[in-house]
Amino acid sequence: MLKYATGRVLLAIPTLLLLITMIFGAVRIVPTDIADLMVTEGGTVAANQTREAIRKELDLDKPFPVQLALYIGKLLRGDLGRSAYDSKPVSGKIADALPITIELTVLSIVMSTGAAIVIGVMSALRQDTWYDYAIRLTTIFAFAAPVFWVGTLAVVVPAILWNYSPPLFVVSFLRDPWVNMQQFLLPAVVLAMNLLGSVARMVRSSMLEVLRQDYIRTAYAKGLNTRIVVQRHALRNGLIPVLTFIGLQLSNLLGGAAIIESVFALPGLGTLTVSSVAAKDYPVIQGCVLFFGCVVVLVNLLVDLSYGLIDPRLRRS
Amino acid sequence: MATGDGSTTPLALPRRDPSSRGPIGRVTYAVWDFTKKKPIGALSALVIVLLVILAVIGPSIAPYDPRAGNAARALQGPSLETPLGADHIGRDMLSRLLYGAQASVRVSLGAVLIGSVFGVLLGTVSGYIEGVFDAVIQRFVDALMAVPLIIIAIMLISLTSPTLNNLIIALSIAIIPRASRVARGSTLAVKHEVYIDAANAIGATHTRIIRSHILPNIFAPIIVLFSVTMGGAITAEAALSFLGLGPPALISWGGMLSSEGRQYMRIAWWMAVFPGLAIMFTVLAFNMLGDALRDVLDPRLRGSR
Repeated sequence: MLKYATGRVLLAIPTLLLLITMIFGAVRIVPTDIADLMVTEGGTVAANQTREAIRKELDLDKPFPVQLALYIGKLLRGDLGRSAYDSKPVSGKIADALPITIELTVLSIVMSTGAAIVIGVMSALRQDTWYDYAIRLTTIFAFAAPVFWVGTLAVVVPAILWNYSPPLFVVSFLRDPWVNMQQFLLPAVVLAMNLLGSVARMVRSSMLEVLRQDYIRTAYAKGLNTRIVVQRHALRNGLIPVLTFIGLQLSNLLGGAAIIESVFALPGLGTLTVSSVAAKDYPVIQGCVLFFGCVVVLVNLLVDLSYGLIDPRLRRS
Repeated sequence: MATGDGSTTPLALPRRDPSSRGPIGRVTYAVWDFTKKKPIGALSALVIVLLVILAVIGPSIAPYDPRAGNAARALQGPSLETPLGADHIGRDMLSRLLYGAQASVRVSLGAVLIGSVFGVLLGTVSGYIEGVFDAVIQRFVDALMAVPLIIIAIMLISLTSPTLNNLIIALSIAIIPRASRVARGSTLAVKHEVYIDAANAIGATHTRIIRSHILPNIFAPIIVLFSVTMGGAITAEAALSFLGLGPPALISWGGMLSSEGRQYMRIAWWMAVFPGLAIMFTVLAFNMLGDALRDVLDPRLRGSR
């Protein structure tokens, strides 16, 4: 287990370094000079700064490897640079936006996984019945509908029917759970719907595989009822690949969250990224993209490591 | 042949005897066989073919100029004059949807073609060589796949100007690592087959082995990947246009749903509904076709996933 864990950690380190290098490189390799872009296209953004000042601030006057080394050094100290728009630290902006993105993604993971397990297990137990077909058809539709469209409908339809729109300014859950839920429940449901389809499919196929195993037949043979067989024997084994799958879907989910934040005007990481693009605020764009990537790498590392806890067979080998 | 006496001899029923097929017969047979086994997959393929035809001829059959507003028609609901309604400045929705189909097909097909060609080459070579080269490439792929597809595309577009070609390139860069993963996995699965050993034994070069023995044998998963990725690329293009990051002059389904018209959607439901349905059914068709192809082409996966 220790060997497995260290192996996983050792693989994640070069991945993170490459991620930093590639994102950092992409911003500098493009044919256009970003200092120019920030001055000319950013409009008011960097109006009070000259090209030279921007170059100096971003270390653009130094050779690329030196720039990269300086950047990684700053990253390790938690310094992501300053916004070109208002000179505030990028790390502070990300920290402000982060709770919103986390609440949105966690809510939708919990909702979609919970629903997907129930739906997927029922579907597997009733394989090839009308129930199975209905569920599969619904999930396929839910998966194909783009989140920003379903999100738009979720904003527009209540407005038409009940003249209702969610409270405008985001309030933290701790301060006022009721207002907070009004703001987050709807976008989280929309996001969950998209994830639900693929996770339910995964639960179904994984359960179908497990239900064919010998130990399930044994469990039935010794007289256990279906509920206990499913809960104690099938689910525990069937959910392991589902966990990996959710880890791998995190990247897609964060992408969806970025879009849904824009639809519902929630000031999370996605909104921060999109609005920085409009302002050509490269330090912020770079910081956000890097942050998204690192979160996904680290969460997947945690998922891999958690196998040891979930599956005792791995702990012993 | 049709006989003159009114009997119901089928005119051109595809030959179902596999032993005597010409090149055309073989294709007809494959299509017939697929339709019989996977009616939903065949229906999806039909929808896709229709979509591509509409994308090509759309601009010539569109009833109105998609960019011309008309105050008299503003927010007019579905009617004989404007079958799918008109938007807030009176532009005909049907015409805009037809032009939007073209944008969707051009961007997603371009991105998926470029992305899968490079991704498949990279993945196949990486899987074939293995060792240090593979390990290094896979770390690159890991790193790129960690960033959400849409976020990579947003970043790349922000670095250049939002033109159609840049949109295609940005999406294809996001597709490369995903395509390479699939190709590498399939390559690893076939590279220890006996026929690869045999090719090695007669002294075939590595290039030849990859070209003539590995690529044809991993074709099935790549076709499936292609179909599913098309669905993803269409969603991504629509999302980028929705966020206002696509080419400003491009008429696209995603752009039709963007915030510009949001406030009018409360009184004009057709503005919110039709572009979304177009995206959903297109993506659905590509996903269903992908599923059906997977079942038919790869018997090992049948019944699972």
